[in-house]
Amino acid sequence: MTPQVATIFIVEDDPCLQTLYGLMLEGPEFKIVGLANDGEEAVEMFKRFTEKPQIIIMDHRMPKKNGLDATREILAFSKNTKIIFASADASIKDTACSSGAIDFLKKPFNRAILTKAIEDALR
Amino acid sequence: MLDETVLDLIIAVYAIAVGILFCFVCLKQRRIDPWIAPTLLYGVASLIFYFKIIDEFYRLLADVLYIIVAFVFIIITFHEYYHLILQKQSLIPLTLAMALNAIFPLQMIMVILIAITAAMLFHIYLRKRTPTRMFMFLTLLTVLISLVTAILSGFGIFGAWELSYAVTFVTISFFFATGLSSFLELRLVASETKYHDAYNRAEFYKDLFLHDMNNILQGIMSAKDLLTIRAKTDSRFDEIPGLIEAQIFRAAKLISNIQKLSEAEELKTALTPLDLSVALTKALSFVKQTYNKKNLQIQVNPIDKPLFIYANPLLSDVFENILLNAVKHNNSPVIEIEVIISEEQLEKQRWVKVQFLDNGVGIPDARKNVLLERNKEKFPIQGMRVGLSIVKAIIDSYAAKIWIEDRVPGEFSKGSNFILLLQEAS
Repeated sequence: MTPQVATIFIVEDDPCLQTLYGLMLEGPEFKIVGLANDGEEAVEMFKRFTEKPQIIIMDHRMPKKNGLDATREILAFSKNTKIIFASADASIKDTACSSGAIDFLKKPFNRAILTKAIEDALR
Repeated sequence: MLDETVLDLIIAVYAIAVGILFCFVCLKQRRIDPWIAPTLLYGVASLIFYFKIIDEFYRLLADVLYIIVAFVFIIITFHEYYHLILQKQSLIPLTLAMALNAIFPLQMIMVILIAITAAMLFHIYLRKRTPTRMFMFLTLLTVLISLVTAILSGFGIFGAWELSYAVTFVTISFFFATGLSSFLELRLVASETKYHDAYNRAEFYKDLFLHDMNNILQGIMSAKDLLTIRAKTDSRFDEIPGLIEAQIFRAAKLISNIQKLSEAEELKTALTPLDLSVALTKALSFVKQTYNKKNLQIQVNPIDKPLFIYANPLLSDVFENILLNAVKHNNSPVIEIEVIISEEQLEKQRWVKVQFLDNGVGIPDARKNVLLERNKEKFPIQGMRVGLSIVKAIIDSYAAKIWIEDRVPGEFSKGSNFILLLQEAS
């Protein structure tokens, strides 16, 4: 039986963290389907995906459009998308969750926490 | 018991002294208060009134001046009342006052007008509860009492004359209290603004640290995880030390940025003539070294003479941050930056204009001013804002100017033009 692969879309303005998330999620169980540098690009890319990613790892403070606004727009477009916030700003946790985020990871977090959050979101 | 002449002299001297002190506090706060004119005029009128011992003409002249003073007060109060409370909705008190003019004799009109004015001032005080408004109201109230007692004194009512003089002293004292409290209020507002700025600055630094430091720690944490789970033979293993090093440099840069921001606030007065080309050359070589793998084409169009500007050693940081910003936010295969230097004469001051034109992603109009702000409540820190905050803080400390335009007017996506106006040292 072929193991199920979780498709992940990373929205993060820090190129270094983009690379590191990619490396952390490399493996048979995860597949990075896209990287966006800001909220605006994330919304545009998400709308263009023919096959929507199962999970979005979303930063908050980004140029052009922040994570909260991007989350609202993406969920308005596709309400079943699972968005995990990954932000250094814990003050937006409640707003993120009430906006539809399925989980909130406060930076810094390790790989185990990230993979567990993805697995929990997929259940 | 003091006689009338001595009392008049004391009142004249007191009124003039208060008028001068009142002017002094108004000028000290660099605000020409509309109350200066009537206060000074009141002092002059009191002095002229004293000379009635020479000729009764002076009494008449002083009375005319008192009426002018009262009218000036009334106009000032009506003006403020109109702008603060009526807001073009109703002119009933003014109309009523004008109508009364036709019915009653002058002295009665003054009493009624001043009573209306005092009521208006009380209304203004209720709207803007400040000690100055309160003293203004009390001043007018005592003027009203003084006028009424003067009328009663004319009818020979016992004690009215003494009360009239006593109230005049109180009126002049309230004049002074108004000026003093206005001065103190402005000092208080300035102090509040200063502490509000300091609070915003502290919040800005805190925010910067919380956000950027956690991102840096995230990078180190992720890299540490990767080092433990990936085999040394893994083809991408070699990338990890580089990523850790990048985070360390980022942390160092963050510390340096915070330090520079703090220095920019403290070095406001330590400005000396500096050679612009030295600072620019230093910044250009730093940027070229930092982005040695990118295809950079930087062209400088200087003018044919050495230019000195009032600045401090942080000037090269201003140029560095603008240049770094132009490189970072640029998706073009060839990053083009043009630096144009020129001189300008504006408002008796010679300025050196330095323009940084780039072919980067550009900045929409709505964000141009926001990028140069540092108010956390309105504008949370994002990407390029930290570097530009340093630029703004340093430029503010030079009493210089900075703004952003489109490289091609009206087409922001074709790149930006960061313009600096720096004070030229003669």
